[in-house]
Order: sequence, then structure tokens, then C-alpha cells
Amino acid sequence: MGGLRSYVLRRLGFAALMLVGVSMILFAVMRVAPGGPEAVLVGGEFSAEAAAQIRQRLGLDRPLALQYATWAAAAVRGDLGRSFKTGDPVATLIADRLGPTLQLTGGALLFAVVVAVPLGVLAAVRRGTAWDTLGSAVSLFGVSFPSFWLGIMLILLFSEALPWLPPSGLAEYGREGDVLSRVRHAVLPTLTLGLIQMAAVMRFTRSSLLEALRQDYVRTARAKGLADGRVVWRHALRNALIPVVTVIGLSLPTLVGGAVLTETVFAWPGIGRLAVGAVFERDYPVIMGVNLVVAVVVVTANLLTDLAYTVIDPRISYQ
Amino acid sequence: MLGALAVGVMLVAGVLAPAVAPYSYSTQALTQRLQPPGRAHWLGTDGFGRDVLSRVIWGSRVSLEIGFLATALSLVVGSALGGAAGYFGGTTDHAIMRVADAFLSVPALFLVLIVVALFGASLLNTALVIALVTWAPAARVVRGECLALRTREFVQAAHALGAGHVRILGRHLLLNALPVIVVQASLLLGQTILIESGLSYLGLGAQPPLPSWGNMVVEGRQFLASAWWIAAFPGLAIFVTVLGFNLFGDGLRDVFDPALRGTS
Repeated sequence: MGGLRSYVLRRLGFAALMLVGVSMILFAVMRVAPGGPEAVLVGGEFSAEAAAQIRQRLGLDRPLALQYATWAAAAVRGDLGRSFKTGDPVATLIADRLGPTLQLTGGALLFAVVVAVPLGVLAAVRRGTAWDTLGSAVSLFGVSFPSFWLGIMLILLFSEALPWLPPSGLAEYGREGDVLSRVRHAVLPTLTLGLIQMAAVMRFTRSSLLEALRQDYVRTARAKGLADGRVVWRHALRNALIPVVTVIGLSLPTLVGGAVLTETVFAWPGIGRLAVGAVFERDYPVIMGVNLVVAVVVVTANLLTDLAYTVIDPRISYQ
Repeated sequence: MLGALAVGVMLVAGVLAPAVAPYSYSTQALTQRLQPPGRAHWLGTDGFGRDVLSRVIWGSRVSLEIGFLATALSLVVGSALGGAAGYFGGTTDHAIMRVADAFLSVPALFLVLIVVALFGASLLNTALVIALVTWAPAARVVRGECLALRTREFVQAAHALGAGHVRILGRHLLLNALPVIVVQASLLLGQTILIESGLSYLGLGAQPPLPSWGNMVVEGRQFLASAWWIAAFPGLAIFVTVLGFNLFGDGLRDVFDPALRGTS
């Protein structure tokens, strides 16, 4: 257990280093970019003095290093500053939006795994049959769909042509607490994001199960007369799951990226849309905050993925 | 081969857009607004009475230009770094691959969105940023190939003959890794076109009236209930093109490496 603890500590150290690096680069990139928030905040024509005044009020006239140090010192304490545009605390803005995004991405991932793993198993076990072809088609289509278009086509089909599901929002106005309404609104966005995520998971399940089925222990298990299903699900799949877990971990950044588009299509009040709005309005504190939170979530999920290996395969241990 | 066909059709359409597009992409004909697909307009007309087919054909230019440019940049960087990592090994390998890992764990679209929004959505800017977020997987693949190649006899022979690092890496390793790189190129093209279309969906691509597949889908969104064809066809074009490149890449892989057929 001591080995595991020092491994986790080392990983956390590396993660912290990465967060500092990413935030520094982003900070610099935003300040180097032409144009600033004053142009958006004032709008139309404005004098150089007015711009300078705004920059001073926002603290943008101070040296870059000092600005970053101030931001970082506050961020460590959980204070992400205030939005240039609305003046609201960034932490509150993000906290309000994080729930819907986690619901969307979590639901999509769950959908992807629940559908893709069995499909991948079928494709591997019934290799060369219609199941295999179906599996390949699904994974090929999944990586080729533009998510925003898939979303719009689902709206066309299930909201316009067949009036079954609502096309946008988290719930009907004022009924955010109503579970049924929430679920009905979640179906299309979750499906959009999930279908695209499914492809990679299914591809990896198939190829890594094919690999596992060739191993000696599978032949042994078969030879001692175990039922086929038991061999596949208990012996082979368990070993095949390691690359699958890796792929789930690796696909998290794509999942977040996909969420940006999906949230835009479905008017989903998550941090993806918050970020898109902030980028267009040059709301620096919000951009920084969203990125920091996303980076923390991704890094944490990656660490959890690595730790999940030890549960699936006790032979793996971290020194 | 279906992939090659799809890719071929899109390329020809893009290159010959002025000749094959039946109408101008920007001429408005308000009396012809929102016409469903028919004989005069095969894919219908949009909210300004513009021919959807012509706009889809013209739109392929932007997507393909950015796709090719970004892929080329990404492959150059990915092959150089991946090749160096695989060839030199040790500390060089370790350092390069950690940087690649860091890039792999950043939400790509997010990063691209920020940079393009702040620095402007020019062709070169967009291609550069897309390359920046897509070189890492290419580097990984090339590295793996070079790791396997560097212990081969012909590489040792080149060493013995006194060939320099650059010559060995360029002539012997990367040239032999070319099949893998070509396959990556095809798959990357699909990916970069998807990223570009996502950007133009968010309003960070070609600016109106110049059509791009992404901004056509956005324009079609508002007419979804009455004129589904405006959003449907440009998206279908993206899908077919990306699918084409993916199929083509898979096909190439089978040709170059028959042992891998059907395993990935």
C-alpha cells in the first residue's frame, strides 16, 4: 500500500505541474492575442483613454507575471475572480453549470460503455459474421459523424417529424426539479454525445478481446469444459478490459470537446456553452476558470483510470 | 474502395467548384426561397434562395483546404518528433512522449476554440492550431514504427557506413515508415475536417457569404421545421467526406499490412 500511496502522490505532483503549465500558457496566449475585453465591453467607437481606464479597472495594465501570480494565488484558495462581463464570481458561474455538463458527459459515457462493450464482445466472438460487420459499421460511422449535425438530425427526427422529445434546454422553464422532464430533455443530447463516444470503446473492446481469446488460458478454460459464455465473459473479457478502460480514460478530452458542441446544439446550460460565450466576449477570468476546472476533472479522471487497473488486474501494481 | 470514391468525388467537386456548381454560391433569389429539392435545385434552396448544391460544392473547398494544410503540418511535426523519439530513445524519447501525453490530455476542441477566437479564424491560423492538437497521436504511431525499425540490419549497416543521424532517420527510418504515415494522413484528414466543421459551426470558420459546411448547418438550423434540406445536406457532405477518408485509411492499412487485416 505504501507503494501505491507514493505513486498517487507522484502523479498528483505531476498533475499539479501540468495545471500550472497549462494555465500559464493560456494566460499568456490570451494577453498576447490582438484586441482585448475593452472592445467588447464598450462596443462601438471608444477613445484610447476609455480603453486605458477599463484596462486599469480590470487590472490588465499591470505586468503580466504579477497578473498571473495574483490569479494563481487566488485560484489556489478557490477564488477564480469575477466575470469581466457580469461581475459574478467565476466559481459560482462554473458551479451552476458543472452539474448539467457532468450529467451530460456521464450519461453519454455510460450509454457508450453499456452499448459498446457487449457489441464489441459480439463482434469479436462472432468474428466475420453480420454482428462483426454491424460493429465495424457502428464504429466507423461513430468516428465520422460531425456531432453537431448528428444532434440536429436527431432533433429533426424526434422533435420535428415525430413530436416525441423536446429539442433543447435542461427542462421546461420552472420545472428543473421534475425528474421526468429532466430525463426527456436529456435523451437527445446524451444520445448524440454517446453515439460518437461509442465508436472508440467498441473498436477497442473488439480488438483487445480478439487478442485475449487467442491466449493459452482461454484454451485451457475451454479444454476443461467451461461453457463458452463463461469463458468469454469471465476469463477473456476481464483481461480484455484493461485497454478498454484506457480508451475510456483517453477519450475524456474528446468527450469534453464534444460536450461544447452538443451543449451549443441543444441549448444545454453547461460549462461548454459558458466557455464559448466567454471566448467570444473575451471574458478572461471565465475562460481561465473553465479551463482550470476542465483540466482538473480530466487529470483526476485519468488518475482514477490508472487506479482502476489495479482493481481489474491485481497483477498490476504501482511502485 | 468506396472510401476512395467518396474522397475522389469530394476532391473533384472542390477543385472544379467554379465549373461544376450549377449556380453561384452567393446569388440571392428571394422569390426562390426555401424551395424543396427538385429538378431546378437538386438539393433545394436556402433562406436567401441560394442553391444548396452549389453551396455544398463550394463549401468543400474550405473544409478540404484546412484539412489538407492542417494534416500536412501535423504529420511533419508528428513524424519529426515521433521519429526522433523512436530513433534516439532514452531521455529524448521520454521527454518527447511526455509532452505528447500532455497534449493528448487537453480537450482539443476547447484549445482550438480559444486560440482561433482570440487570434482570428484565418486559414493558416486555423490549420496551425488544429495541427497543434493533432500531432501527438501521429507522433506516437511513427515512434512505434521507428522503434521497431531501428534495430533492423539495414539501419545498422547504414550506421557502419558512417551515415549521419539525419540521413538514417530521414532515408531509412521515415521512408520505411511511410506506409504507416500515409495511413495516418488519411485518418487525420477525416479528423481535421471534423474539427474544422465544428469550428465553423461555432462561427469561427469561413465568414458569410462564403459557404462552409459548418456554417451552412447553422443557417439551416433555424429552418429545421420547414426546410430540413438546408441543414441536412452540408452535414451529410461532412459525414461522407470524413467517412471516405476513414474507409480509405483502413483500406490502405490492409494493403500495406495484410497481417493486420480485420484486427483493428
